[in-house]
This record gives sequence, C-alpha cells and structure tokens, in this order.
Amino acid sequence: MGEVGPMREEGKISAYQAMVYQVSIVLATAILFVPAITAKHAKQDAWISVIIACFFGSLQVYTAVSLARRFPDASVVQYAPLILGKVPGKVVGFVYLFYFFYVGYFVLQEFSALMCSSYMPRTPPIVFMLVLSLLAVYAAYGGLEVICRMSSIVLTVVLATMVLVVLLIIKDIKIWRFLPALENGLGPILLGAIPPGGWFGETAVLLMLYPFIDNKEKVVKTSFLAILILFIAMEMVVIGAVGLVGPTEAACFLFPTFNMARLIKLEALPILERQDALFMMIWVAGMLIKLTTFFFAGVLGLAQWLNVKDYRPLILPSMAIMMALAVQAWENIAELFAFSGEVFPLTIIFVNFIITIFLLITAGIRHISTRKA
Amino acid sequence: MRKRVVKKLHHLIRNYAYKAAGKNTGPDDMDWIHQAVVEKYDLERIPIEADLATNIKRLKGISGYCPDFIIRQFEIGGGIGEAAAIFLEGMVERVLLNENLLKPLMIHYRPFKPARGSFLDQILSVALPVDVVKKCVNLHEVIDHVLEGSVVLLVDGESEGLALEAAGFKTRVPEEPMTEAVVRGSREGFTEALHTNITLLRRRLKTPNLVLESMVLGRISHTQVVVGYVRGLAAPELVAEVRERLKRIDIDGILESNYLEELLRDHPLSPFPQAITTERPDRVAANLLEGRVAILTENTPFVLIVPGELVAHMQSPEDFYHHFILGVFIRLLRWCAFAVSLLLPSVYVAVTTFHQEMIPIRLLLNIVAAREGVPFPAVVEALVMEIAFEILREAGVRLPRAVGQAVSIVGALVIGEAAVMAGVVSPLMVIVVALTGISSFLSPSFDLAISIRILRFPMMFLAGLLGLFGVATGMLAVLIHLAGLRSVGLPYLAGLTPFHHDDWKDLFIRAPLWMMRRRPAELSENNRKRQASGLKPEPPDRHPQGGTI
Repeated sequence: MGEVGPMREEGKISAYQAMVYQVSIVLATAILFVPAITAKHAKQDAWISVIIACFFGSLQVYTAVSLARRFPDASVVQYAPLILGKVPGKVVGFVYLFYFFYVGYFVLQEFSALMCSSYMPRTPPIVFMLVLSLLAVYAAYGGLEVICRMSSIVLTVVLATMVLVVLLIIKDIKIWRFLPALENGLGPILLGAIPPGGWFGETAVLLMLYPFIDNKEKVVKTSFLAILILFIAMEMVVIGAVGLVGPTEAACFLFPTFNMARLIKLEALPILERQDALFMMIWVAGMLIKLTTFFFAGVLGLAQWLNVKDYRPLILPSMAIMMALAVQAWENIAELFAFSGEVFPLTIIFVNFIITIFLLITAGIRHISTRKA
Repeated sequence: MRKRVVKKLHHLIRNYAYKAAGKNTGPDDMDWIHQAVVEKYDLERIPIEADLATNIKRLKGISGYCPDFIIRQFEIGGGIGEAAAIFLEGMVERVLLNENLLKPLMIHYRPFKPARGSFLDQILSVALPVDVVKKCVNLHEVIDHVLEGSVVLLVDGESEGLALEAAGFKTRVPEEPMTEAVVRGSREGFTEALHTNITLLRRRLKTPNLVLESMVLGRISHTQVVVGYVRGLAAPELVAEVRERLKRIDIDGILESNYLEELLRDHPLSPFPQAITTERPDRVAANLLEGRVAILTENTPFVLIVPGELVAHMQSPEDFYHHFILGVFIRLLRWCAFAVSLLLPSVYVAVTTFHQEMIPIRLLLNIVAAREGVPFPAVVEALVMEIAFEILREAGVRLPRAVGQAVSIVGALVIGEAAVMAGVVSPLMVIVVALTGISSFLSPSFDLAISIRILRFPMMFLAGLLGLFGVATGMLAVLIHLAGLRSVGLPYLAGLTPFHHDDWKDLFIRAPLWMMRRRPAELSENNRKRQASGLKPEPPDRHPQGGTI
C-alpha cells in the first residue's frame, strides 16, 4: 500500500505553521457570524454555547488527527480509496475537495456581500470577488509555505486588532446583559452551539496538511492550541457583542463584530472613534487567508483526486469556477445569512465530523494504515 | 560540461582551418595586431623560449605596441646575462621596481659560487628582494601577471619567467562612507582597492576562521571577487550555494557589485533587494558574525552581504553603538518610517476620498477649506506631487554641485509655497509628500528605500481606485510577494515568520547586548550561542563574586 504519498515536494511546514493554517481557515468568518447566529438561539447564554461548541470542535479535530496519523504520507483524498475501495473512496474524496471549494465560494460571496452592504454600496460585488480571488490565486501559486508564512503575519495582526477592539469596548460591556443565565434551559444553548461547532470543525483541514508537516509528533498539541485560540477569539466577540448591545440586538445585526468596532466610544481619545475602515482593512486580510486556505486545500485535493503531478495548472480554472458558483449561488444577503446559520454548519459538520469518523472507524475495523510500526 | 566540449570542438576546428589554409600556426607568423581577438587558448600554447629576443618580439606583437606596455632590457651584473623586465607603466610601484629589481640585478649582482640550480633560481635566491614571486611558463601567464600589476622578469637562456608582485597603482584612501553616515562609530569606509577592503575587514575580525575565497570573474574584465565568511558561523551549505552561484556567472565584465547581485538573486523580477549592500566594514563584520557571507568585488566600495532578508535591511550597526534605549527608539521609528514612506500618500488619498468619517471634524474642515481651490482629485494631486518630488530628488543627485543649490531653492519653491499659492495642490498634500520623502531616508538600506519608493505609486493608484480596501489589497499583494521570496535560500521574512522568540530581540527593537545571547535562528542553526550568560552588569555589592560591602 505504499503507492500513495505527497504528489510533489511542496516543502515542509512545522506543526505550528499548520496551527496557523487551522486558525486562519476558521477565524475571519467565524468571528463575523458567530455572535449573531449563536445569540439568535441561545440569547444571553451565547457564551455557554461557544464553550460547548469548543468541546465539540475538540472532538472533531481529534477525530481528524487520529485519522491523519494512520496515513502519515498522504492526504484524505489519497487514502479514502484505500479505506473504502476505489469508487466509494473517490466519491468521498470528491466530497472532501468539493467541501473546500464550497466553503471557498461561500466565503467569496460573504465577503462581497459585506463589502457592498457596509462600505461601498455602489461598487459591483464582482469587483470585490475578483480582487480577493486574484490575491488568493497569487498566494496559491506560491504554495503551502508561502501561504503559511503570509497567514502567520496576517493572523498576528488580526488577533492583535481583535484584542484591541475588545479592550476599547470593555468599559461599555454590561454584566446584566448576560443575566438571567440559563433562562430557557439547555435546548437553545445546544442549538446555538451547532454553528460555532461547525466552524471549529473546519480545523479538520489538517487531513490535507498532515503529509507536509515536519514534526508530526506535535500535531495533537498544536491542533488543540488552534481550537483554544479560536475559542478565545469567538468568546471575545460573543461576549463583546452581547455585552455591548444585548442578545436581541446582537442577533439582529448582520455583522455584530463590525458594529462592535463602530460602537467604540472614547471621550479621551476621539481619534479612535469611527475607525472601522481600518478594521475593515484588517478584516480583508483575514478573509484573504480564509479564502486562500480553503482554496489551496481544494486545489491540492483536486490535483490529488485527479492524480495530477502539479496542482498549479488547476489554480486558475478552479478559481474561475468558484467565482461563477459564488455569483449564482445566493440571491441576496438575507438568503446568504439564513443559509450560513441553518444549512452551512450542518454541511460542514457532515464533512468534517460524520465522514471523518466514518473513515476512521472503517479504517480501524479493516486495520488499514500506512504508518510504519 | 557541455561548454567544455564546445570549446574543444572550437579549437579543433580552428587548428584544422589553419592547417587547411597551409598556414603555420607558429606564434611568429601570426599577425597579432590584426587578429580579431587574442584568445587565452592561443597564448597558453606559446611557451617561453630560451631566446629572449623571440619572447620580446612576440610580447610586443601581442601587446599591440601599447605605450604603457614597457619592456626594459638590461644586462645582469655587467654582462653575465641578458634580461628584460616587462610591466605596465602606472600599475607598478616605480621605487620598488628600481630599487629591488633593476638595481640589484644590474649593479650588485655577483654570480653565486658554487652554482646551485638554474641561473633563474640563483637570481631568485640572492638578488631579488621582492616578497611575492611566481613562476610563469607560457605567454598567457606572463601577460596575465603583467595586467595584474606584476613585473615579469625574463632572462635569456631560461624558458621560465619570474612574476614579481609590485602592484602600486593609485587608489583612494579609506574615507567616511558617503551613503551610510553615522554619528558614533567607525568612520572608515571601503574603497575601490580590494586589498584595502580585505585589510579593513581583517582588522575587525582577527581570527584564522575568517576565510576569504578568491575567484576571478568576467571574461574581459577579470575582476577579482572575494567571498568572505567566518568558518564555524556561516552554514557550509550557504557558502557552497554562494560559491556555486558565483561560478555560474559568465559575463564579459563586472564593473560593480550589482552585476553580481543581479546575477545571483533568487527572484530576479522582484523589486526587493535580496542582498545587503554596504560601504561600511563594521556592518560587514557584524553580519559575518551572524553567519552571513560577504562578497567583495574589486573596483567598488560596495560589498554584498547574503542572505539579505527584510529584517536585516532594517538593522544598522549604529543601533548597537548607542545606549540601547536609543537603539529601541530608533528601530521603532525606522519601522514607522518604513510604513509611512510606503503608505502615507495612499492612505491620505483613500481617507480624503472615501473615508472622510475617519478624520476628526476640525481637521476635516481645514482639509476641505484647503482643498477648495484645488481642481484635481486627491489621487492626481498625490501622483503629480510625488513625481515632482522624485524629479527633484534625482536632479539633486545628478546635478553638478555648483548648480545643486539653485535647484534646491527652486525645488522648494515649486513643490512648496508656489504650488500651494497657485492652487495646484493643497498645503496638506505638501506636508504628506515631504514627510514621505523624508521618511524614506530613515532606512539604513538604500536598496530597500528604492523598492518602497517604487511600490508607493501602485499603492496610490489602488487607493484612488478602491480606497482603504485598495490599500489593503496592495499591502496583501506585497505581503504574499514577500512571503514567497527567498534570499539565497533564506525566507525573506525570516525573523518575522517562522517565529523564533530570540530573534525578536533584534527586530522591531534592539535588546541590550547582555540579552542577545543567540544568533539569528535561521542563519546559525549549529552555532547559536553568541556570548556567555549572565553578562548583565550590576553594582559590586550585588554581584555574586565581588563586593566589598
């Protein structure tokens, strides 16, 4: 069973770089949508939902790591046929790689919707999609190492900005907005935990990265670290948004995180008010790493699925298809928003958790592994 | 390999052609003056004959009777033997030639008895008080040594010549570097003479581990290039890579170190400099101590240091010559200036055109009032002003010094007062352009400042098109580009990412010396430790060993 392996030396990344990749792939949209979606179901207990989601996310990433460790030299697209047989394996492989493109064009659409609705209403959405996807294409041509290096810098800036924004609004957060706790019982909280749980599950991208990781022994640790970073980030925006305006209003905002930046009020330093355009710049960077990580994983998967030696010739065609899908997929922002709250988390949970655990169990039962004893 | 085969074929064909034409290929029959070019291959085939007159005749022919190519014929020891000294006027030290070669041979030479070895060996051992002497056996070697500034001695009856090193051409003495002035620190700069530069370096790193490897590059220019590194600090793979890349260079002439930089870069199309260029010996020494490799080129004071990643371009040795608090302050200031010189005009354009809400109301009112009479959109205004500034700046560099002052006065008027009065630009724009221009001079690396200068224009364009979103796009594109760059294999963003916390002590700040215990992680994997631990000085009463109280 030694015929699968990395198709081409893409350079090695460290486990910490993989962690950056895992965080980047989740962060930018999660912090944007999670407060509203979670607050809609869980109200003032949204923060508890995030904690529950965090545990669910840990479970998903642990499943993914367990599966990846059975096949240290290949990605899930390559070893799915080994586990399930040729045709079903290929189908599952396609589901994985389509998932990456699917989230990719979802991100593109989200991005242009937000830019149009909040900043530049008269610019056609296709402009934003085009600019962002061209940048993603440029990064994808650079390869995995380039994406990881770029992401680590962007991620540092994004996280630092988030902390700054939260620090600036912390004085306006009112504890009474979180009371009474557990007013409606556990049901709504669990319901509210599903979308963030889905986002946490995106860290299962490790299934694609694992063959390129240098120090594989650290992967479990860094994966949980990634979950922890994401947990803190989501908890910050959820507490910030709910504490600032209350759960009902937070649920009504399309993008509560943006409104958080807009609600910064400082009498002593008025220059720091109304700087949300700067926040937008940072967020564009965050969206870029999100799109790039998904897109790259998708293109890499596609090349492996097609048994092509090099993924680079597939970059431009894939991006063209992704843009076309993004343009036609959702009619308007309300539809997109409803989709991202109700359909989207379940689909990604299906791929990241259900399929992965199914593959893991099958491989376990059939004793399939390429790991050297 | 392929090159060598082609060369051999070429020679075979040439020999065959001579024979076919019925020509004797002997050197005396060749019309050297009318030869298209004198090839090394041809000269190597001509041995030094025992007959001096023949050699002289051939050398004269080969040199083309140039006026500075001097063949001084004389008798050794009053009739013991005939000899000739061959040299280039102006390339050799006159006194040395007269006192240490001609005088002992012509006047003081007495034959050595009993005779030992050949006549040439006798001369060499008793009559030539010259330190470096090499033997040459063919005319190629003779010519080569003469062109490098040696004196070649040919003696009648000997089929070997002696090349005596006597180079003594005029060079500049080390002066304060023009491009990298410092307040505190050494005021010596490199010169055009390679041996002076090597001395300047040796004086700073007195260790047998300072290795200097010499090679000659340039088909016609025969430029000496020296690769210097500290053994045990520079990674052997790095040195091998640099050597390999230099050896690949096959160009007719190397006139400046940029010829080398351009031919050994990893990414030839990138606007970012991939080697550090410096005139300062202390900067080279500091970088060698970090495990980098220096490339010294003959005839230029600019030394290349590789790898030259982004962070290294922002470090100046002077940061360590002042108190570290000042060092920290200057580093931070420098990074801010870096951002300002890249982004200020574009951010100004974006904010005034698209995001007026970001400006405090009073300032906004002022801006509106100032821009009232300006007919152009902010982006046009910015582009025009930046281009005007670039023109003045270029003119300032090229103009003869006598005219320079006039230009600066006119320039100040044109892009300052007069332009504002005429309503072409707003006063705020003048401030922006001036600040941007000044900021670009804070960079210790002129090359990096150039790339920023050039990238400023697309950034302004993007800002005018898409506002801050455009600026973000431009910055991200630059970031992706930088993330993909390498300098001789080292990632260009090394220091920033991959993350090594020790490196951050010499990045946006410069930590006190006692804290900088390790060398840059990516450069010196095998030899990380720079200094002993516990160097932090303390008053004697608190010191564990000392203290009288």
